[in-house]
Amino acid sequence: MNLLFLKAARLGIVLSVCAAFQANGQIGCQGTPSGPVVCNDPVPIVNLSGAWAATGEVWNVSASGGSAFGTVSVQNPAAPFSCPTIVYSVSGTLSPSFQTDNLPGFVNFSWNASNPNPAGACANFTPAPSMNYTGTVANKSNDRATGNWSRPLPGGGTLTGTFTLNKNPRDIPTNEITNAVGFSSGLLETVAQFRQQLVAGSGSSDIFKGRQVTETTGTGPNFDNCRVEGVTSVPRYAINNARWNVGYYGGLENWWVDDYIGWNTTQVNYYRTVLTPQSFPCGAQLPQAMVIAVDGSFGSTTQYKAHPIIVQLTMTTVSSTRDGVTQAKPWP
Amino acid sequence: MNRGQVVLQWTLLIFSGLASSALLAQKQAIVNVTEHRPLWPALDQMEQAFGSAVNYEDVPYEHPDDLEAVTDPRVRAYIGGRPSRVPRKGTLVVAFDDSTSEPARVTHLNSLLAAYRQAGLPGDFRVEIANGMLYVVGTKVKGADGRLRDLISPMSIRVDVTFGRRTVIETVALIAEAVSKAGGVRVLVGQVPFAPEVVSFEARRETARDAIARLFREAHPERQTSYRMLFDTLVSSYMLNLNALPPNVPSTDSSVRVPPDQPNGVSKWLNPVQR
Repeated sequence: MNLLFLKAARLGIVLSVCAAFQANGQIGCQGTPSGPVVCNDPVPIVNLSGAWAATGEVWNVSASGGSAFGTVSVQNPAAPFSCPTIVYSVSGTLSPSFQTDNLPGFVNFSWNASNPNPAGACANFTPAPSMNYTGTVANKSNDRATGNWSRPLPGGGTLTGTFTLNKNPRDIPTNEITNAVGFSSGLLETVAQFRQQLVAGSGSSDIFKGRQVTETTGTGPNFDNCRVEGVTSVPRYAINNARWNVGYYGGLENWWVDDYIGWNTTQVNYYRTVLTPQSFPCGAQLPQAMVIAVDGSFGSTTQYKAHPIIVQLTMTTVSSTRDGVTQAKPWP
Repeated sequence: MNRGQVVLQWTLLIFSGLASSALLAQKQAIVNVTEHRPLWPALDQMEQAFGSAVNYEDVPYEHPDDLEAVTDPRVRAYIGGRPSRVPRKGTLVVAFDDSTSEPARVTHLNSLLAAYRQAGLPGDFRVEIANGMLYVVGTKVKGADGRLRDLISPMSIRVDVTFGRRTVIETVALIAEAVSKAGGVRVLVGQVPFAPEVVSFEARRETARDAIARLFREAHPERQTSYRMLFDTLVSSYMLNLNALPPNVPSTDSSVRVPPDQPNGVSKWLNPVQR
C-alpha cells in the first residue's frame, strides 16, 4: 500500500485529476467575480496576409504590423466582350483589437484600391478610379471579412454597399511542433505539460494568432490498461475535446499553451494502491487529432495533425508522450 | 467487464405527421450492459444520446449481498487488510429514444431505474431535476444488518467554500473536502477536465450538488458538464469524476452573402461610359 495515499486518505480526502488529463485550454475564458462569462477567444488577429476573395475579385494583400499593401484583381464583368482583368493597387491599415479576457478578439481593417490598370474604357464601361473596403475579421478562423465598401461616383456623391470576403486558400498549419515544458506542480506534479508551435507554409510567425484549435479523438490504437473495467472507479483515459486559443501570450503568436498529459499524483497513488505490482508498467494510448477553426467564427473545423498520446506508469516512474516527445521522471 | 459491451443499437422510428403528412424521425437506442455498476455506463450512453447532462450519485455498498470478490488478477486480493470486493454485477436492458423534452428524458431514466430494481441490483435510486440538469441519486442501500436503509447523498450536504480565485480542480477539491468533513465519508476527486483554469468562487451553506453545478457554469458556460459520484469499494471512498460533454456542433456561419452589385446590375467596380 502506498504510504502517501494512506497519509492523504487519513486526512479524509484524496485529490486526483483526470485519467485523461486533457485540460480544456480555453485561456481567456476564466470566470470572473461577477459571475458566469461567455467563453470567447480574446486573442486579436494581427496578420491578414493572403488572398481574400469574393465573386469576381481577389485581394492579394500583405497585411501585418498595422499596414496593408498589395493588389486587387477584378474580373471585368463586361463580358462577353473579353475585357481584361483590372488590377488595382491596394494600401491600407489594420487595427487589432485590444486583448481582453472574455471579450472576442478581432481586427478592423481599411483597404483602399486605386490606380486601376487598365484604366480605359472597355465595352462601354470604365473602372471605378478607387474603392474603399472597411471591415472586420473575427478571430477563431480568421478567414472571413465583412464590412462596407464605398467609392466615388463620377458626377459626385458616393456609392456604398456591403461585402464579404473569404480567405482562399485558408491558412492551415503544415505542421505542429510539440515542445516539452516539464512537469507541473502540486497535485499535477505527475502531469507533463506540452507547448505547441503551429508551422505556416508561408513561414509567417504570426499568421495563426487568433485562431482556435481543438483536440478530437482520431483513429488508431486506443486503450487504457491501467483501468480495470467495472472495478476501478476512474473513467477510461479519453480525449476531452479541449480547445486552445492560439497566440494568447505575446511573443508566442503561433503557439498554443499547454496540453497537460498524465495522471495526477493521487491517481498515480490510487493505481499503485489498487493494482498488483505485476500490473506495472501500465498505461494508456489515445489517437489525438488536432483540428483548427475555419469558415468564420462559428463555422467548422479542419484537421491539421494527428498523433498518439501515451501515458505510462510504473511503481516508481511516470511518463507522458505527445507526438513522439516524451517526458518522464521518477515519482515520488 | 468491458464497457464496450454496452450495445447501442439505433433503429429508426417513423412517426407520421397529421395535417402535413410530414415525417419526423426519432432515434431509438437500446442500452444492454452487464457491469458491476451498470447504471454508470447506462447513464453515459443515455447522456450522450440526450446531448444534455445526467449526473449520477452512487450508493455506498456495504452488505455482502451487494458485493462480490474481484476476480481480475491485476487487482490486489487485499487492500488495506480487507479483501477486495466490488459491487455485484448485473445486467440492464432498456430501450429509450433521443427525446429532447425533459419529461420524456425523466421517463426514460425512470424506466432505467425500474429495470434496475427488476434485476434486483444493489441499492435504490431516484431521478431529480435541479440546476437545469438531471440527477440519478442513490436513496437506499442494504445496511450491515441486512435491511434497506435510507440514504442522504453526500452531494446534498451543505458546504462552505471561502471566496478565492483558484483553479477549478482546487475548488472541486475544497468542495469535496467540505463534504468529506461534514458527511463522514471520503470523497476523492477524480477526473476534472478543467484543471488549469482559474475561477473566482465561494459557497455559503450551499449543497455540494448546487455548488458543483454553479462551478461548472462559471468554468465553462459554453459546455455542459456532468459528474459521476462513484462509490469505490476498494478504497471505501467516493470518487467524484467530472465529465465535459462534447461541445455543441456550431451551426454554419450564415454571414456568407453574395456581394451586391449596383442597383442597375452593373458591377460596383465599373462606371458606365458617359456619351
